[in-house]
Amino acid sequence: MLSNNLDENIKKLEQAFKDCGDFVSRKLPFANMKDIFFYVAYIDMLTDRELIETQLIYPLMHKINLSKIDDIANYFFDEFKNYGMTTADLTQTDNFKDITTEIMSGNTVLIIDGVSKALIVSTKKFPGRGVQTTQIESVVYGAKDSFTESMRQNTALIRRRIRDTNLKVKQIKSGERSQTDIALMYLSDVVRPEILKRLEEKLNKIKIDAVLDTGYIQQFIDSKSVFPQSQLTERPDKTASAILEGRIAIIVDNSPFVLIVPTTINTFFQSSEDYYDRWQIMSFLRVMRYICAITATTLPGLFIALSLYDPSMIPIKLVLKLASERENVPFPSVFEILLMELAFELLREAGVRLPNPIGGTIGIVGGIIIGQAAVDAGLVSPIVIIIVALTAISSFAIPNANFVSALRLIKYLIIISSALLGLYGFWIAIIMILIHLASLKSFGIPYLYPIVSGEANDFNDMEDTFIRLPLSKMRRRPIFANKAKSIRQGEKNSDE
Amino acid sequence: MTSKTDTKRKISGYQLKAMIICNTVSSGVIFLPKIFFGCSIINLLICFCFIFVIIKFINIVTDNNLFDKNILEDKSKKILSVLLFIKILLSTVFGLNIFSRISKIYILEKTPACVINLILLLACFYLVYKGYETRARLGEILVWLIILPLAIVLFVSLSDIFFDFKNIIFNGGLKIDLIRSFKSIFVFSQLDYLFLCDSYLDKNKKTPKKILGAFIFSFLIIILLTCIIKSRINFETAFPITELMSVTDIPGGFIQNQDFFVVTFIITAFFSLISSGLFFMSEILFNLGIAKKKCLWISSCILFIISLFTDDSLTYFFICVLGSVFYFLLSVLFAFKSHKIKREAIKD
Repeated sequence: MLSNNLDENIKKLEQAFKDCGDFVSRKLPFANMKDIFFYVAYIDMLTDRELIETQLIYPLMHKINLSKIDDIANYFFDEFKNYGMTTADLTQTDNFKDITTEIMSGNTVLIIDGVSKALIVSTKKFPGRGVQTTQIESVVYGAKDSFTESMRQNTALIRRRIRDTNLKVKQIKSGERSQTDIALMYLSDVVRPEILKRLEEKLNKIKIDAVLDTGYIQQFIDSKSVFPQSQLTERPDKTASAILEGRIAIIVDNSPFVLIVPTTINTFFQSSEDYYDRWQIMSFLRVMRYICAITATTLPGLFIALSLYDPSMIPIKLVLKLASERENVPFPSVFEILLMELAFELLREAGVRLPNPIGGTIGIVGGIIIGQAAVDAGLVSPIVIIIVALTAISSFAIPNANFVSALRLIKYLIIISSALLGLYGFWIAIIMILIHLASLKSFGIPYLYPIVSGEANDFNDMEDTFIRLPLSKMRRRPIFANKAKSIRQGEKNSDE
Repeated sequence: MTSKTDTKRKISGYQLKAMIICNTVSSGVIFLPKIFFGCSIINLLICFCFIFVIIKFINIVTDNNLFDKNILEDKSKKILSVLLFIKILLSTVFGLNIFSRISKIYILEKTPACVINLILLLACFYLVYKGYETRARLGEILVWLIILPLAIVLFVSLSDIFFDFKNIIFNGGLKIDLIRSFKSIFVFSQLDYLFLCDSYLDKNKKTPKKILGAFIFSFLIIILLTCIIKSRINFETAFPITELMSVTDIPGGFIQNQDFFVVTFIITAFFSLISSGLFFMSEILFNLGIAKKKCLWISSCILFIISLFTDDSLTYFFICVLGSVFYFLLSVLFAFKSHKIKREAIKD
């Protein structure tokens, strides 16, 4: 708690910020009252210095005449706060911990001699980049802007798309030391209250030193599964669309990715532009993405199972061709596949680490050179190169990198299982994965919804799963939304 | 009752329907044709009638809600539970043994049967460990993996279908057919679902209809397949359905043979059956007062150990005896209760 003695407060504050080179503070006298002082404190470069100097320090030092004021405390926290400051964002506190947190959040603290309260003036001006084009979730049609590291900028990008007073931004802080700002954005009338409550409980339970990225939050709110149960996105339009469906966006300061909950597996196959073009074309692409996901996960394992255990299932002409190509290869096909898959993982990792222009080149050149060299050296057969390439290309067709990572990992489980037990192992691995997926839930909603449990919403959500119906037919919101607001177009809601 | 948008604390009628179809079709098409079913359909019809009667009884006893009374809750019915446990145990062991035999023909010739069984049991263990909600959700996917290969075979073979009803219905003579029917009730009808899903079901008035629908659908598939089998292949083959799938040519010829479909069907069908058996066994043990955590371990171990030593024909004999005793006692109990309820209603 603050005391009435300004020097005591200054001492306490400076002790807290001892050895913090970026901490700026100064004790200054009021105009015409050289024996009464005020004290301002802020962090350099997190604040708008011009605003502090012109709107705070200058009026206090040169304009306010305290000789005519009897009750200084009353004056500052009533008259001056309400009529003297030309900024709307003002709060007051007498809690010392709050003061330090506000200073570190880019605000300026004003403490006055003889008053046991402090005025917090919003002067945030964080260094950061502007809004740029999307890097990971690129689309042909639709908006090109993406989130930035500034939480406030990100909330503005969403607010710009949903101009509804029901769009709420609930702010909390997380991280014992980082005190990272986290904003929950949702439509108060559409969100399901029990999901919001459960999310808040989960967030409040997080006890960690620092939250440096959205990924931290994701790992705390998801269960311990390789499959993500929340959706990371860098696209404001996708986030806005999710909020309109009754989902909740979690925006973490310092991260250009926003987390969306709840999530079901089909949301990972939905791209923003699915809704920007004609439904027939986009439905075709949606089906293609599902096929790609199956290919990316199962093709290498299936090839191993068939070539090692059941070649009789492959057409005779093809099996003869495969046999002739594998004639000089000294390794079993499982080794070939693993070799090439790992080489591809290596190239992918190297491509990410290298600067952008070189990264792309190394992927292509490396792939061609290593693949061709491996075939020429007789280490692998050409069909294996085709299978690994097809698997990799298929994985790129899925619009969510987080989900693709999970598929990449389970692919190896299927490869090993198929190598050990052929088609039996292949199917047992698939069944195990399906069991795992069926057991997952995201905030109470089955992960495989609406492929399973579709009955919960009268199978309405199938309209945006494997195919996407025309927008005019998509009248109802998905299961994520409050039942009372399930109608989103064409008809008035039942409670209105 | 849970609301429609509730996040599925219980299994829905649709999920129960999917599970019944999975199990009935699986056991029907795999077990029956060669070993017990011959090529007669009359036992299917008798089976269906029996199920219908049982459901009717339960409806009367439980005031038109099929699942309001769990027969295993009453302590005086512990004997019935033990009977049902042993019957399900033997049925599951029987299923495991047939699976390992089929697997050795179609999938893994050199792998020992116990290894094949152990791996399948591990997968089943994982499913039962994950809970019945997971089982119900998975059932919605498995039903397609079971029905689709069959549907392809049915569609392609439709032109060859054999519709001589006289021969199909009365194949072995009335006496033989009746005996076969009697036995098949206890082997392939998935009546156990009606008594063991109670506490997991999202009950409503449509549920009994959905269950009957599931049974009718399954029986139709089995009848159609039996007709095709009759016309296409020799009934004395070990596993007629898998044989039928293997010899059916799929138009286009992009696949060398249909073994891939056969394997898909076999694994999913048996997985569905064995996992249900394991779940029901654990459930009965739990109802008998054994700690929930131990039930699954105990059931899995018993199942695996017994599968190592059992003889198929002996197992089948015991399944029939235990099944008939169980259902006989149950029917008498229900008949008695329904009579009592009616008498009380007249008095009032």
